[in-house]
Amino acid sequence: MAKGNPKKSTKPKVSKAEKEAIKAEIAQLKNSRDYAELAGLLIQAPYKKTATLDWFNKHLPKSEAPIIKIGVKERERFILALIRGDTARAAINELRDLPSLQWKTLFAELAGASTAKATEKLKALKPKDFAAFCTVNGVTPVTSGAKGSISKPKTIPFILKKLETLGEYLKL
Amino acid sequence: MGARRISLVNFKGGVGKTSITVNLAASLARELDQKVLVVDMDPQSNTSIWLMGVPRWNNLNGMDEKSVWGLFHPDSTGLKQCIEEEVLLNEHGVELIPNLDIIPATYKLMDLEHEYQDTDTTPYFVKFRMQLEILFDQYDYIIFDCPPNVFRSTRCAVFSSEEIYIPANPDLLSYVGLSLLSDKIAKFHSLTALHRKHFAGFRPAEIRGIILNAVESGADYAQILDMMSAKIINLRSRQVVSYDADILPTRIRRTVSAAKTQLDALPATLGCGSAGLREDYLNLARYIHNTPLGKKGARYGKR
Repeated sequence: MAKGNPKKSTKPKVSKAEKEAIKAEIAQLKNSRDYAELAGLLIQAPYKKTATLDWFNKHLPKSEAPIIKIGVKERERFILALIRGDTARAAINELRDLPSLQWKTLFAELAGASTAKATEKLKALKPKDFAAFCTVNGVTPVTSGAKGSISKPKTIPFILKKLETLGEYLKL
Repeated sequence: MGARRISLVNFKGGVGKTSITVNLAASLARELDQKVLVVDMDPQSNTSIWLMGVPRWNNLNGMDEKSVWGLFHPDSTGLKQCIEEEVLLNEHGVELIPNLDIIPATYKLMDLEHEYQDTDTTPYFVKFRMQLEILFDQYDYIIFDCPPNVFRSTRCAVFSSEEIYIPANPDLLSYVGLSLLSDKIAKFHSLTALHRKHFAGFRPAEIRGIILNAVESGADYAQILDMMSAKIINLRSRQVVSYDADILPTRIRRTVSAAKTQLDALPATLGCGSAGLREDYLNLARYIHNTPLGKKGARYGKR
């Protein structure tokens, strides 16, 4: 029977210099905007809904061992792997949901505009974009016709009312 | 190049200006190896007391020429006398963060608001910056902790800064006043345009974002954050904040240990407070450090 712990003997030996090099590399990767941003987003409630275990493993490079549970260490390993693979920015953009951010931005811009200008801008939106705008900004669109398509003239007054409310807050 | 000069400003008290100043400065100095100078512009002197400890600050209070107050009386003292180079000492008197210095405040700074009068034609904020400019090349960061107003102390800080961050809690009361604050700063910039000619390469301070503080884990802030985002977009379109101003993605959590860091007179980076809180401040430092100001021409454009 072999002496000692068999598990211990199979571990590759890492020299002190190599350990230092790994530590320095991690410190360098951590000292980046992407690391700070992703680490910040992943612990916030709204983004936690998107960042499920499946989401983590979908974004994790194939060379990495899959994540089994989301803890502090796993999050760190995940972010570092993404930065090494140069895919952190893509994950941040997905988390921030840039397409929906676009409609939130438009909503905020319209809140500071006149009713006429807001109406004009809303009318100019394509039907698909108008629907997305309503969904993102929590407006229930009014449908009409046999196909149940969204009626812009009937929906716009509800949007204007919501814009008016936000406009009041923007004055504060 | 010179130091990045950052003011932390908000009308409202209790939003974390001092905590963020101390912990941001400590994280930049200790973890990112930056040479940092903190300038305490708040007569309440909380930052100074935190970084120097009560006994040392008590000794200083009364020797006002060795504080920020000394910068307004350049004939009476040398600038070097105003800088405390040994902050955060342990029980053996050993400096814990050698890269971190402070120009402390004393209660005397309160007199700047009402009793101080310019003795010549140079306004107080120009005098202040002229004194401080000597230090711009000696530090990587100069961070100004401002009082909860936009009176004289804050104006001095703003006139000497290039970047402004607004600490805020995720509540309606922190949101109120953001427009007024940005308008006041824009107005100050326009009123002081003539005085900028004294300084080469002057760049008026831009509001670069909101730092959310005291964020409860798991709480749903969607409504207030949507309002804050809308406000920032609105301010961007009015060109009273930086073109890339936003709510910073790195947030500072609310913890019981946050109060303990003050009681122990230590920043979170020195192991005081929870590991999560320490990481929050470090991430804030990393984010700010890696988000330098854009080129001058990039100001006030479309995102």
